[in-house]
Amino acid sequence: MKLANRKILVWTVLSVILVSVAVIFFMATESNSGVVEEEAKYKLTVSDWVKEGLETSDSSFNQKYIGQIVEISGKVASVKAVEAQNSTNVKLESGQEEVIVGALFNKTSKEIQELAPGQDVTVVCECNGVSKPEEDDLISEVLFTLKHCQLKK
Amino acid sequence: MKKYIAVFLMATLFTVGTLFSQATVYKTSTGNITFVSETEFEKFSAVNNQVTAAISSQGKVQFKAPVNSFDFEKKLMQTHFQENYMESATFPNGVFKGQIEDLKSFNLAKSGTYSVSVKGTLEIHGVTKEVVIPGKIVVDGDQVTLKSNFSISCAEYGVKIPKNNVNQISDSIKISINCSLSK
Repeated sequence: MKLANRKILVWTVLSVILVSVAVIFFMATESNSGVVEEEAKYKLTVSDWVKEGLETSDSSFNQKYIGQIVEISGKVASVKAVEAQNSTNVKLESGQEEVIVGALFNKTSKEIQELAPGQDVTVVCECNGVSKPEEDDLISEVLFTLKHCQLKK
Repeated sequence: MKKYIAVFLMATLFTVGTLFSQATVYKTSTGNITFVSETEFEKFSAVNNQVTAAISSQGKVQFKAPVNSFDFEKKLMQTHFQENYMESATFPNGVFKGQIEDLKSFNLAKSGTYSVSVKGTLEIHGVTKEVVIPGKIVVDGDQVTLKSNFSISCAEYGVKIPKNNVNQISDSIKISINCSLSK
């Protein structure tokens, strides 16, 4: 092998190693932003989403939605600050009794805290799925949970 | 006539008795659980603010923590936790169901701080174990706060830590619960 070719080979191998190390370092140290940044895979109204969750088994609903980014439109039911972590939990009107839809905003802002019950909103969040009560549960509500939310303007 | 009065009185007493025997339940769907892993080489923690918790005046206590709601500082760590260690697609929740051992040790109708011991089952990663968890109940008017600190062993719940990570992840995980509940 010619010297020039050998040099090119060495530089190529070194470059690949350097890039790999940089990628691994970036992945290992990448911070969790706590806010969804991707496009939503599913866009639904709260009532349609809740209806689907109630009509299908929780395992198949969770298999479809957990970890996915969803865009949910509906009306605000209540807003509650989670003091310990500077986050805000916004409950959406589910249109059903005994059904709670909770959207957690990690990075709270004035705009989120000033949301009022009855106000129309669209949230983009990561879905945590549905949790249905068992027979001996003290909590009788069906819970739909969303996290890392942000308001869509 | 006397017969009717007696029947009426018995019916009234039964209704009142039933109403009073019904348990008052305090609950939340935004409770907080934090866990910490600490080894000689690395310390990290994760926070969950979507914990469902409930307590009844009859001493029943329940927690349900969606595994995917635990937030880590590092994204990769969170992915490993959910997919490799906790297998959250198969076991989406950690669940505790218990009963306060001494019913005289607390009173949800009276403000104060009560130290209690709750005996029940803790289900993590599909493994259910009987546990006794110490805790505090803080009653402040209509607000009830449940607090507890305890540790669990990953191995006991079938959570496998790869050999090359044993220096970074402790088998003993410290758990802190802090949930504010209301009626």
